[in-house]
Amino acid sequence: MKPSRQTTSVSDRRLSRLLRLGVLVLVVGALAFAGIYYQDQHVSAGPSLVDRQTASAEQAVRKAPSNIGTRLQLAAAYQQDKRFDDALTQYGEILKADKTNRFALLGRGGALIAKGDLTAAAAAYHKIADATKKEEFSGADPQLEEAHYYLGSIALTQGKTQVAITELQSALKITRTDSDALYLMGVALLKQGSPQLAVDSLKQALLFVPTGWCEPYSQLALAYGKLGNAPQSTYAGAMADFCHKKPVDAKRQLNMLTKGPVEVDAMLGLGLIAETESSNPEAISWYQKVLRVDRTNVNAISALSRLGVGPTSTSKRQG
Amino acid sequence: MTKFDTTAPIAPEAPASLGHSEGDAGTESAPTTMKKRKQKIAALVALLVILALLFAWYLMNRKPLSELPGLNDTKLPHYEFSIYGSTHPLGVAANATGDRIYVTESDGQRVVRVYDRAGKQTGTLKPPKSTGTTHIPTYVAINPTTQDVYISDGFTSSIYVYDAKDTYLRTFAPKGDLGGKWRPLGLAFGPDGSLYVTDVRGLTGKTHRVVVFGPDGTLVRSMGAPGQLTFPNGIVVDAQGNVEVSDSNNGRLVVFDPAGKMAATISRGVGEGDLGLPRGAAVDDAGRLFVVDTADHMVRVYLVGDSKATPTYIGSFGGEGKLEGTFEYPNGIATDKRAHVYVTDRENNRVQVWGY
Repeated sequence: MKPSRQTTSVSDRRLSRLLRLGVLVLVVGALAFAGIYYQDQHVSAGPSLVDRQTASAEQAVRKAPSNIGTRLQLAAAYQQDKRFDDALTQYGEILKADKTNRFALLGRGGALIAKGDLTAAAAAYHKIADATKKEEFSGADPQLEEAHYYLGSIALTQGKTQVAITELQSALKITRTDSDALYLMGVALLKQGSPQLAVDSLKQALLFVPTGWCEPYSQLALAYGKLGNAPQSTYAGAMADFCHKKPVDAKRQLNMLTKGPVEVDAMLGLGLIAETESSNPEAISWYQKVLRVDRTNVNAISALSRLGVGPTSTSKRQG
Repeated sequence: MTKFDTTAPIAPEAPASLGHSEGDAGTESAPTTMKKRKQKIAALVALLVILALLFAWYLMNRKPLSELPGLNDTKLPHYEFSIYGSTHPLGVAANATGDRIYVTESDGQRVVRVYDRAGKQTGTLKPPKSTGTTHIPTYVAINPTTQDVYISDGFTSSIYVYDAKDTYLRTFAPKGDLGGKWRPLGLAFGPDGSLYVTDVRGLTGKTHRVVVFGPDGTLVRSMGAPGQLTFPNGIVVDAQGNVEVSDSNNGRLVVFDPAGKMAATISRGVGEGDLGLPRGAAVDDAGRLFVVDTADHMVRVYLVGDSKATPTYIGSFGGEGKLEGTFEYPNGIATDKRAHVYVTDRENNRVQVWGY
């Protein structure tokens, strides 16, 4: 029994050594692999584009500290980098030299909104409105329009619905196709208790941005609900579902509406959903069905044109 | 005073280990320990083999481990870093190892800049003065058989050829009847060194086409019936020999089969994977097809090589902006064999490098 015990213990020791050696090889190998892998795969990214732009703008301001243009660029670079306090400092420097500089006031307003100081932001926008409203081209002034839009937006957030409506009306007088202003106007009118006017405004907003913008559809559903128009409310709700990536729910609701007072809207919605699902033949079919009900429907005609089906071929298909 | 007498014999009643009877204490514990050790050694050997195989695979491919065979090939790349220094870059090409990246610059000095894999500029390519003083380098491709670099010039309607050491070699002279002047735009190579060029001569799409030259520069055939393609831009040849062309102004991607017959299209539209204004196209060795949609500021990714003629949409990456991983009118795209994707971000004056 004695020699056998000795053999076992020798073999044990060898095995133990082998094991330790193996573990060592494994650990060293894994570490070496990790090192080589990191060195081979890793490339230092360096400063980002925003950092580069900021550094370049800072250098330009150091070279020409009294140049308003370079200060504006620096402030914009800070703002883009979410360095709002630094941006406000630069806007402040510009406004010391030029009290009514619209770009600085607009930038200041934006930075203050981002910081949550709505009252100070409104003051900046009011300065633009006061300085430019009597100018020759105020009726087509994009900065004035922007100032009115933000004044409307701030007023709406602060619960001053009537002020918001007045400001948004001023913005829309300058740019009638501003879909953001149209949407906010719809929200304000709904809050004010004018659902029909809200519907008109929201529908106009959606004319310009029919897909990928969910809020107008949700507001439209609310507005139709207040008007007691259940089919239209269902339609808007379905489109909101579609917008929120629930196409199955949307299609189910819209299919139920294809024989009723909102059949045209429902079929247009189904066509749009089919388009986004790349089911072009199905989309064409829905748009052609719309034209059978309303031969001059602009949305259906333009959608068919977008899908490469002209009015001639449409009428031929209609037979 | 010692507490224990170490020479004292161990009492026979004292068991060697708990739970064993007197007789089997010594004989059973040794094999059990041995068995456990053997198991440990087997596990260790297995781990060492796995590590060795992994290392060998890595040394052969130099790809990230996420590209190990059998892993999901439908994932999208992630942003890695950007290469700065070119003004309004349009086209990009990279050699197989990704350590020579060629970028055509459509503004500024209008040269082709060469970068290493870390994004450091190592050279420039510019044709000799005999070719004229004004140039707009547009697209670039590398001949896989010779490593020569081919660059289309939008101003002189020529293709300039350089070697891998950045030396100008010649202006590509097509052999055969092109039917008049041509205007080469997008460039791609087949595995045998055949050159595929999108030709946008004429202002309308009626004369736009793809022309194919053999490795010796002889015109082999043209693809695209009159009026079929309108300003075809990026072009790529996949592993199956299919030719994917960005039919840019028709807003679609056209797939020609190896015989030159139109086999499939990916259309313009608002649906998932539909295109807007496609420009550059590239395919990697995993069969992923990348198409730059410049109007949407995104890159659409498809899979080619399965039984379907139409590439299968996987997803998109990018989006409009100036931040890392977003684009302002991207244009050209290229891949290397180390799972990198290079995208020219035209209005942000940079080339973005994405990886897996």
